[in-house]
Amino acid sequence: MLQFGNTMSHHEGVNPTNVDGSDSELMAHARSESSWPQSRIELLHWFRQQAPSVADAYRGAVKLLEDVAFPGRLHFIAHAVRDISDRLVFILDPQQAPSRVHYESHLDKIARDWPMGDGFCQSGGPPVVETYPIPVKVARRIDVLVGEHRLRRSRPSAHKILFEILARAEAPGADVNERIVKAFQDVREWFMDRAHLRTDGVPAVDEAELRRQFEAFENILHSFVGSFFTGTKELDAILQSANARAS
Amino acid sequence: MQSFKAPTPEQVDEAVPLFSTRQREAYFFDRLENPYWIGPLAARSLFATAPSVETVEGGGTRHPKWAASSYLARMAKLAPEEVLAVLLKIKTENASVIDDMLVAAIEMAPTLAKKLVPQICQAVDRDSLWYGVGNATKLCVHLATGMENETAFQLAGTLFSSHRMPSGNDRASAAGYEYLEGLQTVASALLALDAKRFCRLLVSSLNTSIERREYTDSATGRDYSFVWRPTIEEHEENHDFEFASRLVGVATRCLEQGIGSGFATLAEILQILDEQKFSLFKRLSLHLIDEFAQTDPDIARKAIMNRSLLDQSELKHEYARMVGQQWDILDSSDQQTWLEWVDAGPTATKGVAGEYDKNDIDRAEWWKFERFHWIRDHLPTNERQFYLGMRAKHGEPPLADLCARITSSWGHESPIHREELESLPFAEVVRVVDAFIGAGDRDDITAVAAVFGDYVRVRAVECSAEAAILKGSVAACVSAFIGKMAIAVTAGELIDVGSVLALCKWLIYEGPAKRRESDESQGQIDGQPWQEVRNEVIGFVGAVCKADSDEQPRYDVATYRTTLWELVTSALHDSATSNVIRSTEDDPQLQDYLIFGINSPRGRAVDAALDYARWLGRQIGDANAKSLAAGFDGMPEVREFLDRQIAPENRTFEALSVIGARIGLIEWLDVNWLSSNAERLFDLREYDRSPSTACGWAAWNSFLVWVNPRIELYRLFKSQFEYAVEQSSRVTIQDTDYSQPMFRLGEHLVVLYGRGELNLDGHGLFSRFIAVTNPDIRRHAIAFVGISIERESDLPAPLIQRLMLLWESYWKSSGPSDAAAKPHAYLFGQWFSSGALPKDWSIERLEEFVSVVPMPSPENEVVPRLAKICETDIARSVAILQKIVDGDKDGWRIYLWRDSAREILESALKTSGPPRDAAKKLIDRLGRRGYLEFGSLLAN
Repeated sequence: MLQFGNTMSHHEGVNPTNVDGSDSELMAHARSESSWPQSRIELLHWFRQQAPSVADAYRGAVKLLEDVAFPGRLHFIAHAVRDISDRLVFILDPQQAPSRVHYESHLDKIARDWPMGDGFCQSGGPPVVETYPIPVKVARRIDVLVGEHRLRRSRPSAHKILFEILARAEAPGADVNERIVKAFQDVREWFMDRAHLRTDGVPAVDEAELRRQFEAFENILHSFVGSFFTGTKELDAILQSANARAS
Repeated sequence: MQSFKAPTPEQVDEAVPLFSTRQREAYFFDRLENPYWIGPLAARSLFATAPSVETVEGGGTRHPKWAASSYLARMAKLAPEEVLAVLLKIKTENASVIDDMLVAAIEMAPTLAKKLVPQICQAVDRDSLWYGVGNATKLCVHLATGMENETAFQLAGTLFSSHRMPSGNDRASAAGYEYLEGLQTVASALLALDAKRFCRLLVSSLNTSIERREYTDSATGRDYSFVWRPTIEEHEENHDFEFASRLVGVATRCLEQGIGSGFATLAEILQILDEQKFSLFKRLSLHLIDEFAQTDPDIARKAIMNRSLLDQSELKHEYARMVGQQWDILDSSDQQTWLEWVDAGPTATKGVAGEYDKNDIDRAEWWKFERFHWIRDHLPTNERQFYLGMRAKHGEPPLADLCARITSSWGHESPIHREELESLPFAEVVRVVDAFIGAGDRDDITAVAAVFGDYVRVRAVECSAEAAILKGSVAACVSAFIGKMAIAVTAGELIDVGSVLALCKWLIYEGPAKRRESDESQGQIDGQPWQEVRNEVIGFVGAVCKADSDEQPRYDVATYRTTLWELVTSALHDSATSNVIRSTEDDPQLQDYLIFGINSPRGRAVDAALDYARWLGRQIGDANAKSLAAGFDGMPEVREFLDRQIAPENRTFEALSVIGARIGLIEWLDVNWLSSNAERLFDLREYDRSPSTACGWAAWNSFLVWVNPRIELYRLFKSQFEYAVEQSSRVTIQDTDYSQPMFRLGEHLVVLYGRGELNLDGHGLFSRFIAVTNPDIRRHAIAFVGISIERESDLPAPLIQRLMLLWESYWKSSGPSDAAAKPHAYLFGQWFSSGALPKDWSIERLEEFVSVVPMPSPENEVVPRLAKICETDIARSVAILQKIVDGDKDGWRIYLWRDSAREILESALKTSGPPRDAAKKLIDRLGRRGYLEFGSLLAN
């Protein structure tokens, strides 16, 4: 169930908790996903508590990851990751309306009254006039479009807002690490590129790369929402290897 | 570096997403020891963005540590080029990161480290260096040692620029300390690298520091350095309170080191100094010439034989020292010439600064005397004769080689020493001291009087018998004598009180008529003749009245009553003006006037009168009775004195403050008088008519501050308490000192409530107080309960019940808003930590409290107490702990009580269900905030 208040603007009232729930719930999950690493179990549990609508999508993506033979799995996994990446912030904070500018809708309205341009520009050559009159109502519609566009550009990205929300569990005054936002966006882009069906056939899947990208997606989120000490155990393993002296 | 393995791209790709939060990142970097990870991590932007500088609530900034830069600093020795490449790209104002850069630079070869100098200089110019100054100077030395001339001096120039220098008058600031320590650190290396260039840097610093001093005349070069730095060399006369003076010391040592080590010649340094305009540099030159005279005798000779220097007062010390120490390098002809100059006398006109002119001594002769003093061990016969004659007459010239003495101490050395008086009879001692004081200046008077007082103190008994000798003595002598007699009485010595009182009486009643006019100026205080003597007389009276023997008054009424009262009466008309200056703008409702009272002549007299009354009362009545049976009928003079002091035409803040502080005594003396006169005494409502003359508040506030709460007094002064409570709702509290009278009003009422003598029934005065008083006053009253019950383990049950009721009532009404308005106030925190109240009740109230104030002060006492009793209600205890952890906005307060937090979490983990889950969640939060040690609880 969603646990956030919805009376405050921006995301002031949102305070996502980290992995919660009783041991028995976690044990129940663990039995059904018995081969999952602890961090994955914790991430799923968090989705179930904080964003139940994406929990199954995530779980499905994980299952498809393991089922190499499932047809079209890359498409489905990519969609799941892209949607979770893009929608999670709006699920955690319903106050965050998608800041989409409906360019086509605006341009349709502008196009209706746009003067047929045959006098102010010759293709390939310089403009024959410095200014060109257009109807006021057209100018107003352009003004609205430009205003929405500017507003969209001035707002932080949805991904940055997502990490602002997630960072609240960190130490007071913790700022959002732009590197993390960029890394998350890069992962999202990788899956975005593979989410849509193509005219030239299914893209080749580098299985190792797919897993690496998926685990990156998981680990970035887990860093914020999973148990801190689960993550440090994983880091300990990496450190042990990194600090080992060459024989 | 070869012993580690380079990571594969896959290993790095696997690792990086795991430390997406700052704490995980810090965890990783704090433990990574492999330099091969630098490149791959840099490629993934791990070093791109340092933590920003944070603004702290209440003012100031915080510069968070960055584990990534600390890692680079550790790796600098192993992989300097890789580290350098990364550091050059980091743009930050964060002082912690810049300090890591400095540490890294020091580990690298100077040829690499120098590339960081521009960045570091920018940080210094932006004041982003802070505690990294020490490392910056070490880097400077590192570069200099590595012969990186330009960058070493570039960095030195920035570190010791005028921008970083405190003002010349600066006294002991951290900035000044760092600056000077830094100079001393870099001196050896920079002198070896390029001594003349470093000398110019020192000269530039000195010039700036002098120009920043007040009273420096840049046009003429007069810097008055002979005042703020009397000697160039280290000397007891140099009191290095000022930065400019300390800088002179450091610069001098550096220059001496440069010349002494052969990095520069004396002539080269002198050339640089001669280019400067301030007189300090001329003095510095003379000093160096003197120090290195054996190496360069010709320069020394020329300086000594420069006639113009003989008269320049600003250069006097260094020139005199040089002449005295280097006389032997002059040949006989030069010596003769110099002596002839001295014989010819000063060429300067009258009023040469720094010349000591005493009475009718011929100025020229004195000038000659001082100059001969410089070379006293080398004087030829005639000059020696003159010198010795002057010396026999005047002693050693105190300012022979100085322009001024600034040695200070808490007193002035007495020209008469106690040992000189030891063998003399008392009468002779008095005569000697009188004579000296009569002719001395003020400093001498104080010093001699102190010596005389010491003499009297060790012979108090015998001297007291001869007190009459002091009739006609100067005031300072008499003051000292009577003051020591009072001390002797207090110490229990059986002095001849009668003789001393007789002297006092003579001084007060007959002395003024018999004093010579010239005596009137002695002992003046604020123009009041002999006021200090009168003060000492009153002090002596007080001491006699307070003296006990076997818990009984030592001095009997029959013998001393009349005299004591005569002396007291004489002072009751003295001025009420206090030695302690008070503002007439202050709200009298908020002042404790007793400090002014006891420092005024009238106030002292009132105090002595009350001491007299107590002394009398103990002898004419039953000291153990609740009240004297006869009251003031047995001492009508005291009643008359009190009536007079509280009469409208005689009221003063000072006198009434003393009376207010002794209310308890007056109650014992005559409760009926007090009851009948309470309104006259206090008259608090005068404030509504004329605040500036509402003297009664002085008595009221002294009563509140200095008299313990008692229900009897509350009943006597009920209408005053009622009025004061109403006024307490209208005041604005600026001074939150614990003894603020309005705070004490609350304490009185709380104590009486605690004893069951007042109620919280909604109608009574205590309820009214809680409801209406100023929030600061109310907060203090509530906090006072916590302080009072702290460490009380066995409070009576009725008291506990009343306190619990008080808190519950308070929290239902104004408590939450009081707490939210001042979250750092000690409200429930000490109630809880006292341990005096029931555990379950305490935990429940604490939970309510932290929902409003997440960090209950003092949390370093609250959390340990919570740990002790958490098993009473573990679920609530964990919930409270979580609130407190989340309430730590500073980020470090948890450190103070982490052991107690651990105990609570350990207890919770032993349970099952929600408390255990909550504990695990809290452990996670603590881990995210850097408290990794809590992770072991999960492992266990």
